[in-house]
Amino acid sequence: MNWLTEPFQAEFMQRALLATIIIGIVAPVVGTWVVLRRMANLGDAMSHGTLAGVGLAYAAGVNVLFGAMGAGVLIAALLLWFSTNRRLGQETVIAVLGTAFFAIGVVVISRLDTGVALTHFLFGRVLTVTWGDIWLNLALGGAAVLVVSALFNELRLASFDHVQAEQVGVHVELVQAILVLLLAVVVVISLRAVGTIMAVTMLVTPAASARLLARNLRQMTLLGVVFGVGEGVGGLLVSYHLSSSPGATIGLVAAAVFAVTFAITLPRRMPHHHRPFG
Amino acid sequence: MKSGLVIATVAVSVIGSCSDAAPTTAGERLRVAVSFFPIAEVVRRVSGDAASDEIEITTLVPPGEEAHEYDPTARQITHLEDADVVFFLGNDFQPNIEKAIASLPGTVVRSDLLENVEMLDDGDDADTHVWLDPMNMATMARTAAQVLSDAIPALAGTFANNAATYIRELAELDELFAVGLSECDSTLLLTTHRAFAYLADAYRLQYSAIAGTSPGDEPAAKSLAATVELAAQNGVTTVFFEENLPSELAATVADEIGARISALATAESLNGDQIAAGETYLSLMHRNLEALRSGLSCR
Amino acid sequence: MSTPILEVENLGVKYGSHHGAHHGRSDALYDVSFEVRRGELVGVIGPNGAGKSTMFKAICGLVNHSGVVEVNGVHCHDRTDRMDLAYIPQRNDSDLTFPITVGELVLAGRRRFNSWWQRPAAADRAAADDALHKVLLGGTESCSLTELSGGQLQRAYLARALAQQASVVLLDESLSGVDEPTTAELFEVFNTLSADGTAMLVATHDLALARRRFKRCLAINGTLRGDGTPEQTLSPNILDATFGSLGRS
Repeated sequence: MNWLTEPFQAEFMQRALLATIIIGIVAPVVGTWVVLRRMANLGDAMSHGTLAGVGLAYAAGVNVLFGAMGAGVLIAALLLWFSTNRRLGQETVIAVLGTAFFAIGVVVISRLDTGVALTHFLFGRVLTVTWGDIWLNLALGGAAVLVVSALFNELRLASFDHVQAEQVGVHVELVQAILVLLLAVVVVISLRAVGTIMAVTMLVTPAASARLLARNLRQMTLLGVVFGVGEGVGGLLVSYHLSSSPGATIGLVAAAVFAVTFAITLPRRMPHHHRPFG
Repeated sequence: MKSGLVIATVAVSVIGSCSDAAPTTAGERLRVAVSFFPIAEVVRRVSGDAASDEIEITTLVPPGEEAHEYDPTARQITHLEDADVVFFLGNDFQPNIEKAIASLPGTVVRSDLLENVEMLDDGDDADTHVWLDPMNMATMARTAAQVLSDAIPALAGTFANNAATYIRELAELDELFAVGLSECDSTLLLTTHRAFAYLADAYRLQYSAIAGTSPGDEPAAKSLAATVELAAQNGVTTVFFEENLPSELAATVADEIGARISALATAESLNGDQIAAGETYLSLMHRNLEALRSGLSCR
Repeated sequence: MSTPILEVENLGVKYGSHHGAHHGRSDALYDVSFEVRRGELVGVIGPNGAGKSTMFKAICGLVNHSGVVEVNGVHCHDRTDRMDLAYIPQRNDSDLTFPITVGELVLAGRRRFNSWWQRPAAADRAAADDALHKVLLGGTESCSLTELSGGQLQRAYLARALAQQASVVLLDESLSGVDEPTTAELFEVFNTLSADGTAMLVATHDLALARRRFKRCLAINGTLRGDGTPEQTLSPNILDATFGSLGRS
């Protein structure tokens, strides 16, 4: 029991715990749709690309979270624009944008004379999260969860069968655009705590594990949140006792949960199984 | 050995002047390259007025750049090869610069100013901020005077005088520190990164750092918790962070124990504003002393 | 019975107006005109790539097209004008592992009667349940799609169209790879819906099946090659135009 409570005696660890829980909830709620719509590579590009906004915001002395958000929105807008070119597949455009913005971020951050290290943003600094960060994340994350629950039905229709969805009145493209913005929000709230690389982990891995087990969307979302929070808190605990990097440890725990889930569900996905009807 | 090198250097610089397109009026100035700010300060003070007439000093690390990881540009390495004398700090303080210096032709005089400086036995992740002990600066000034005198024997007297003046100022600073920090309520100096071991050692302060020596270092959660406990036990009221670096880590610890945070200069580089304000090593150290006296509650 | 429920006039689609553009010819579909009446069950025949899917998508407003589509006498300008149409995709075009239950699939049809912020009401659930019973899938609400057979899946989609109260249902190759008993079952459901007044267009490349099962067939290859009873539509001349020499085997 001491193993569980000892780490959280200091207030900075309590803040780290809160920040991790917020990400553990919000990332899978959005990640469920990222996984279902096979947008994980966009999440990856988005998380790397926000580094440009982070770097420029730092250089300008603005809160980096605003910079990250701005870069995310810009990437989303450019993606929509470039995707109208039929010669290039969307995955090509995504890779070009993601790496270009990442490169801007690396160049800007390495030229800064503030001694800010790139690794701070790639892997996060969960131990130095402030109450201000937490309130901001709570507001942004809460808004994201509200948007997803308000649009739950629309997301379901647009994601399963976008043709039918349009026919019955769903604004499929608007839903897609909102989802891309939510993706940027997740990256932003992950930035300080787990970093941009681990943001993708939290976005995709818990939702992917949940996808293997869940029968319907509500289940998948709830399971994703359970996995996300469990992996976040578990990773934080393990990292405390092993003195390892919190962000990377959370990522490892998430990967381990996915591996176990995959193994457990393997027999179920075998081709020969009985259908209850006709 | 050293004089042999110097003769070779002088010879090369003479030959150089024949082929150079734009020789100066009174023959070639001595081309001196220095690695970063404290070294530049020492060399500039020792060469004094001669600096403008007889010696041309260039600093590798530009203003405001991080000194440890600085990677010299291709153009800088070309210039280094043309230099007569290079002053630097060895011991892996600036690995990239040291690598570049190691590959220079034998004609360039290389002077590691750590020579004669007494190093602390500081374990694996050793602090290299030797210049934060003013008396180490004095040692470096003596070495620099010697090397410069060997390069331009005619100015040996000037260099010796300049060095003596600077060393006197450094000794006064040392005295101010020793007296100013002799009676403090708190004797534990706590900083973000491990950069003030030499300063703490010189003035008999206990020293602890939240993270390792590199500005990118992050503590593990457990060691951060241990630091918080240590700080609380020692009644730390101020946690120091390095000027020009993020203060979050210091703020995190200060927050836990209800302390405040305060900046200390590592004096390893000046940013543009500081240069414009005419800051020097001595002025930075005077401000450090004030910050320390207030942060450690000294009388 | 006399007024057409679906009127298509001079429908044309250029290549490149949707994904998977081909090269060489400029029209994927041209000059297609026909009418379908309430409750009519129409087979749409033609080889693969003849433009059956393209025609369906154009009718649904999913691809840019020329010509006029009228549903219930209303000229369709954009997709929202076409809520009376339901398109049932080819089996391979849907992700059956998507975590959605049969009940949720059918409820999707009710979205046209609600706004984006509204949850399905009791009336919607009742209508969905009713639709499932009509296609003989009562009690499967909580099944996932992977648990359904090919025929059941088609019926579940039909239930969605029913819940949507679509007057015209377009089924794309829903009879491919389905065995005879399943086909019989499906046609039973088609006939039920047809009796309720729902018009259905069923695309297939299976001529023998079309001959046996439909009273009216449209032969499509680039344009409308024939329209009438199977005997008329599947005449050697029309088959040559529609299928080339393959058709007479």
